[in-house]
Amino acid sequence: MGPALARWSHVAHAETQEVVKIRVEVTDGGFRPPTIEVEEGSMVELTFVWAHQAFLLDEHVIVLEGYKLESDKINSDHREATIRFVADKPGTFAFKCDLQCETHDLLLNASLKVKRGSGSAGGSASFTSTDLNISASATATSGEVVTLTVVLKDVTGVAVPKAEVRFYLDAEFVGTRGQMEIGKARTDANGVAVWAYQPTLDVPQYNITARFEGMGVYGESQEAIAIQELVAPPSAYTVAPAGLEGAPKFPTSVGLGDTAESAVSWSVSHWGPLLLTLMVVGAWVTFIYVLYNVYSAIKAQS
Amino acid sequence: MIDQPEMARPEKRLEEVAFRPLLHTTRGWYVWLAALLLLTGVGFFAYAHQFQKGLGVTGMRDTVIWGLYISNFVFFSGVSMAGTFISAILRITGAEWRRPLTRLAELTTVSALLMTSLMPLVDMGRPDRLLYLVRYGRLESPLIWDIMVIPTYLAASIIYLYLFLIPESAVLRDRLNGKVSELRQGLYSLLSLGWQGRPRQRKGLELGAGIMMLIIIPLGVATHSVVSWIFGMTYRAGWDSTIFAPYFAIGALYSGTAMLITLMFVFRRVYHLEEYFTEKHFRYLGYMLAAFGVLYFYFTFAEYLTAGYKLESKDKLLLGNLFFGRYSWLVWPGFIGGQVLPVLLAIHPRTRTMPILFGASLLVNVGMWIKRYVIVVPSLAEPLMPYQWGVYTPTWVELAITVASFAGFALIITIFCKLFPIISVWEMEEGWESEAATVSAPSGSPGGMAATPATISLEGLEGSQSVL
Amino acid sequence: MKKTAAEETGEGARNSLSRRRFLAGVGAAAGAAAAAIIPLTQVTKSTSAGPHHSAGSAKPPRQWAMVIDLRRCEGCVTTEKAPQCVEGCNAEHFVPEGQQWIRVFEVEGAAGHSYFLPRLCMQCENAPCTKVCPVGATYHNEEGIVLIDHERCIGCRMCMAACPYGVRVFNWDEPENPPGALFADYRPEYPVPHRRGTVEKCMLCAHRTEDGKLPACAEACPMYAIYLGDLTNDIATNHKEVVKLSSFLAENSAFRLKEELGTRPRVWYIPGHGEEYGHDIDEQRDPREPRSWQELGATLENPHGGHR
Repeated sequence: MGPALARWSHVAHAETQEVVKIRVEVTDGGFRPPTIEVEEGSMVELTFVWAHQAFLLDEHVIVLEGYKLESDKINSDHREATIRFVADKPGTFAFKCDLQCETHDLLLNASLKVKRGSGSAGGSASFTSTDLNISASATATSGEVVTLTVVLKDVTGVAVPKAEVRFYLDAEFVGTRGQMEIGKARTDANGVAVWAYQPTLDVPQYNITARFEGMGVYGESQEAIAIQELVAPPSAYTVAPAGLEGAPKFPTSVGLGDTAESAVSWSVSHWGPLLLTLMVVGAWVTFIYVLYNVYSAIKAQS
Repeated sequence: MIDQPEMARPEKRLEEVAFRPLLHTTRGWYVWLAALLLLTGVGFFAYAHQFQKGLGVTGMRDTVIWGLYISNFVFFSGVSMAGTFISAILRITGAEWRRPLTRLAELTTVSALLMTSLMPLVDMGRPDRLLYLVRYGRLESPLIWDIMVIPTYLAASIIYLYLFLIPESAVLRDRLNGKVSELRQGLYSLLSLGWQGRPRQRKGLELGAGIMMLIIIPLGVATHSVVSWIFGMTYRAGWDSTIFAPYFAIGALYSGTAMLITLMFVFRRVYHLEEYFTEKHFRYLGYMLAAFGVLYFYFTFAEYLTAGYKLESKDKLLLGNLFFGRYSWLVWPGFIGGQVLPVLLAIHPRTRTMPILFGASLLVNVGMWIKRYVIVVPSLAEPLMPYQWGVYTPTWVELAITVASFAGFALIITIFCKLFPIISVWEMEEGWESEAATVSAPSGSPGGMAATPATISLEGLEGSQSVL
Repeated sequence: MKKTAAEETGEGARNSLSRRRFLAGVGAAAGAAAAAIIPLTQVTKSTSAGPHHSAGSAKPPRQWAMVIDLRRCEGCVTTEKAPQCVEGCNAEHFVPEGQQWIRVFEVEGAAGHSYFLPRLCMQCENAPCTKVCPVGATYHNEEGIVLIDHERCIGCRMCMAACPYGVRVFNWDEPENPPGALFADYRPEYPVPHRRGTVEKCMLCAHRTEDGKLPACAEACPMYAIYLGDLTNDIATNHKEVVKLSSFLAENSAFRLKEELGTRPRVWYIPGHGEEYGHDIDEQRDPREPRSWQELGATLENPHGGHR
């Protein structure tokens, strides 16, 4: 998290890029090969092939950690799925099946190693730029929920699926300004992500930015939208005082005047001290009665 | 009136013994008074110092925020229960043997309650804001429950003591006429309200005393409950217990009975009351001490067993330090000496002699004071966060005020005994009369007062119903 | 002599008449007293709200909270200074000698790891302290901060006994106040001058938050570990970044101290052991002793002039 990134996605290079194509089979014994290696900066096309002999009903969704990529599902009907990405992060990243499949335990030890590149050598792959479009269900709100819709496509107009889009709000609090992350959503197969936003801040206008940080071969993109705030939203937080149902919203403790508590509910919640008070008052009334009675009996002239 | 020789011998002996301290002041009494005044005076001086400089002159600090003052507060509230029990409960049940003891018991209660009320005032950080308790008092606060209940209990005890002083003042007004100063004579006259022993007056007194007898018992229980809830309504280890109220009430009965035995023994010696504070009284009070002691032991056992079984973190830390750590030097002697040994002594007929019972009662008093200290201080010293245990070392100010409170307790009793007999003369005489009446006058006699039992007890209350 | 039945009933009747009248009078008085109790206690309830209680407005008032990120707190040991949050607080409020309104503990965790825990007043929603105060000197303001009215506190210290976090301190002696403090306008939100015989504690810098400033401890923390949050607007900041409070807490598995007691504290902690600043789990390092406001050279006009 940090200040909004001003730059947009990389412009695609016109020249053809070198693509490293790797096939990894998912067999009854696990991934084959279990380890693969690529150079940093290369464009990688990693295809997973369903190749079970037994476990014919097994289905897999392969995720690549670090790059946060997810393949389509492979099973006996759809045997291949490919993920494409630019290996811009060096390191060792695990890939494994994300479903509870039969051979799950055998699919836990595979990894992709991205070798730290020399940098000066050519072939530094570039990202495909994307275009993010955000719209809101209403441009003005009185504190009710606003539905934000994001459409993420690449430059050719093809939808980018399974992409994580985060939403940020320009906010200021106690003298500090910043972009506050308010939520996230994932694009579906059509590149559309929908998220419902409940406004909580009491500001005249919400400036919301949706941002896609880039994934796989896709570069980052973002867009902002402004929503007018007509009326302050309700409190994001309701707290009931200890022990009382249907109590006022603000946290109170006993002894705070000005709450909308009735005498009845107060008496009920204070039954203990009230009983004590009753006893004490009764005692004093009795004292007066006794003293008066005794005094008048003694002073009586009969 | 039944035909009886005027001033039969038992009445005459009683008068002599009971009135002697009122009429003759020994040098020893002056020395005693001087000592008490000195100790109380030192206490006042210590408080003045504290008032001027602030509570920093005590040993209390941010961890152990309550120390000797609150320990004394609880201790004295405990002592106050005895009077109520002896006077009220035994009166209601018509136990005749309690007659000589009632005034001593009620006086102990009043004096103890006065000291009980003083201690929290001494402990306040801003005593100049005392009236805020009335002006801004909040019903939710356990302290306000104390502010409501304790003065009410004190008022009830004073009224109760006074009601039985009315006929006594009349006796003193009549029989000490000319033997005491005009001022004192006037005092007796005033307090007696013109009591002549007429039936109408008796009925009125019976009714009033009967009502007070009944009301003072729940007030006594309420007092100990609200005192316990100062602690019981918090989250501290050792205090976070649901049985604190009955625990304190039983403890009060135990420690109050012990104080009564102590005072009874002392008065017996000093005022030569052997004929009135008899072996039987010690024996019966000894039974009571044993019974309350066993009950108190049961509560203690239940408390420690429940906490010690679960060993919740905060309890584990506290129990470890109470029994095996930094407070064990206090807890074991207090427990064995204050709770176990005296009960054993009181149970066995062999050891239930007067001197041994007196010793046992002293042990109980000391043990119960230690117990109150052990309730207050270690639970506060135990860290709530990862810091060191609190350290509490009382200073001379707190010690002086503690000693002064005991001196004050004794002082009130001492001065009272200079003005009124410690044995309720008129009640003793009345008891003898009714005894004699039932012996010499079976039903049908025209003797007015003696035929209708004029004892102030529940029977008397019932008898007076017809007048209502 | 024994009365005749007629005499007795006659006398009894006369007496019972007057007695009945008296009883009726007393009964009425008792009824009136009992009826008066309830509104009377309502009166005491509202007077105990605290004299500076402001009228509610249409907008829901902010509800302050704090988040302390323990991944970032390492007791200021790497800075070779005493914990800055404590020193900031000491200077801001001229905290009396021997008191610390925020304290940094070095805790040994259940797994044997050591970490630092800054602890201030939890500003509990279900506060034990405000319940037990006999005179209503301690109370919640509209924004959920627990304040102390030092002009009402009677120094009974019941609140100190009741607080399960031990955050309250007491002015046992005459506290030293900065020059000019005696003429300062005392408010519970800014308890200067301090008074002997009253209880003190962290009040979440109510005087700063009402001015739109961070509490002194949050501002002073060099690691940006302390966040001030607003539950109503669901936002928080440590004066470097702005976060959505509810997600910040949930995503980082925030916890509260002694949650099981049901006090509902407003101070959250994000578990950690100072790892963001390289503090190892088995490193035991004692934080330095924080300096008092006098040593820091704080003055009424410029509390933080002398340090940082």
